[in-house]
Amino acid sequence: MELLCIRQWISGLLPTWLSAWCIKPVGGALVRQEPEYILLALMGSPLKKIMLCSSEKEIFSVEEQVMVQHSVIINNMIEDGSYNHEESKIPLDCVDSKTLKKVIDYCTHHTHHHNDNQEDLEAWDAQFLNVDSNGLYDLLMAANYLEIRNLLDLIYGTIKNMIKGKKIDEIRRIFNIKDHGFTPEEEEQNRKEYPHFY
Amino acid sequence: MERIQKGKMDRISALPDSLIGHILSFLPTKTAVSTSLLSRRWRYLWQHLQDFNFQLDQEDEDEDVDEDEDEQYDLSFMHFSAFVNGVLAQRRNRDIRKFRLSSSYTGEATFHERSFNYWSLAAIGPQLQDLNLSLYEPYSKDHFLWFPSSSVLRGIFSCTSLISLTLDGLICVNKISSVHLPALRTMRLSIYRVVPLDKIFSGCPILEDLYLQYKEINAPKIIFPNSLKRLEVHNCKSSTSREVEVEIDAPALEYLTFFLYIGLSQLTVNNLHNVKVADLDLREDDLDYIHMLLNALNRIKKLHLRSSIIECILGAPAFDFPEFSCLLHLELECFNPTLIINLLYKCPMLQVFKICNDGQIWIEPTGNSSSWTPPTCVPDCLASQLTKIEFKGYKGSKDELGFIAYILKSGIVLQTVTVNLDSLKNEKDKSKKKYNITKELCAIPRGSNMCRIEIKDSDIFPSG
Repeated sequence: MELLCIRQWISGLLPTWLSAWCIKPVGGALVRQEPEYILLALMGSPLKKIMLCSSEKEIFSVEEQVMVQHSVIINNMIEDGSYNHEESKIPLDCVDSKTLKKVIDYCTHHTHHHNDNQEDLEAWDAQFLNVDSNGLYDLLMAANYLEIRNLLDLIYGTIKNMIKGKKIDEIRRIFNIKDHGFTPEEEEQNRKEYPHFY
Repeated sequence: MERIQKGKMDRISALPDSLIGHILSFLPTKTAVSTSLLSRRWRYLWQHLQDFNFQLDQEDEDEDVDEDEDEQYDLSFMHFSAFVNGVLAQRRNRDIRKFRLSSSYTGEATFHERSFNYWSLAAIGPQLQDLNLSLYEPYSKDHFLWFPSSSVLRGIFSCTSLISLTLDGLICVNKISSVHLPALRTMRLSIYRVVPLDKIFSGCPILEDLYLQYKEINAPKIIFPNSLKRLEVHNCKSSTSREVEVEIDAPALEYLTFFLYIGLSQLTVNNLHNVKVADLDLREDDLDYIHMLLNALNRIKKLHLRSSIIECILGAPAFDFPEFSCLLHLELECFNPTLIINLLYKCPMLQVFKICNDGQIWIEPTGNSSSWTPPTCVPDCLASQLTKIEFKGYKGSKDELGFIAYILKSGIVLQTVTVNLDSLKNEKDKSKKKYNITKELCAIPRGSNMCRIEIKDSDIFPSG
């Protein structure tokens, strides 16, 4: 009951447009947020930094606001207080330095340029994904681990375009699927039954 | 751009099942299922899909061309039906999360009706979030309308997990017992007939995005939900419905598209002060309603007025526009310099102005001399805010030239004036006309040093 009163009081302090919605972007989606956190966020310094540690033990310093806006995992860690600003760093053992740098790059750009028009953002995204295949999968795994919704959707979209409209032989070639594992009879049967896919 | 892996690894097959599952959910189901042919690893992965996208592509089937055309299309639906049934039967996950069905009617009415009913029932479940049923005009033009069975309607309209619902095309919803859609945020209804609109709206407490397109409306009154952020209403021009009463009270509304060609028996608008963008076209004899609507939208930032509403406004001797103190971007589907200047007086902050004169409104021809005289008092926005003007459908008449000359002279902060000459493409001597127009326009003295004139002509510059 008390918390409700406090929340209502804090809501009263916020400008109407903000308290009416009390939403903030998390992981690329908008999530309803308690007013007290918004007030704290408004009072806190936007340039507060956090430390991310890659699997190669390299430390990256990033604006807290940037990561919190995009990564659900990091947002949760900071919210539930398991991250202490003074001393700790967030260990990300499944993400190597090269990929982590790219991820930070993506989040930073999208936070600072979120008011840009759609075409410019899309062009930047296309350029961003101009990496070799290995890099693409590393990014995918990292975005999945950190739960960065819009980066995930972007990568899925790219991979989907590599598959859609292509024949099986072509897909196998593109993705290096050398050994399909079917017996020769099975493979022949498939080709006979679904010739238009090959 | 093709990406061929330089390394020797097949990394995509090494991804965890859940990620491959996500990739597959972005593909049309036919493609997703075909990945079972890729390798042993991929053979059964599609079966864990919870998102389905079934599309009947008539070009896809390479059937015997000799067969009778009707029969050929009938066969394609049978194949499609067998495929959909096969996929639904082999799926490992009972609960479907997204279901999209896009098909046309191609022959046997009962077979189609039963198929659509059964597939819808399969989709409805405790995890259904996105349902999209689209039944489009068939090639053969046979008259077919799907009346979903009562169990299908009951299932759809009381699906508590549903977030997005789209019903499109040859579907009729006549009667629903009750509507309870507590999670629904997006609804698109562009179907042949939907009768219980008020029941549907009252059952969607958090509806934010509504797209409504209809030919016939049998409801005497439509009260739009007040939770809306985005409203798009399209009423077909050929509609023969009688007049309807409309009420919009939506304090959260930001985007409004309102195309209404049947008369309004009554219009009530409230709380539209948050609307940022509006696109309006009304065929309405009673100017009070147009007045009311524009007044309610007076905090708008971007406004597009189309031909029917402008025709109505021009019918009045002196239409009094409200003051649009926040308007930054204005688009008008006509060229009438008096009306335009009257409107510009009321838009002090206007930055971008577009005219699209595609000839829908018939203006009295004025012969060789211009009948329009420039006003003595320059509108505020022209003197201080207007930076970009676009004129589509420029024909080079004296009035048009006079107007552009006035704008160029008085537009002190103008940066770009774009004139689109595409409407001349069917005239004889068009190259000569275009050359003359270009010469005329460039010769006009400009009030702004930075002002650039751009001539757009898809004949010379095909990219427009």
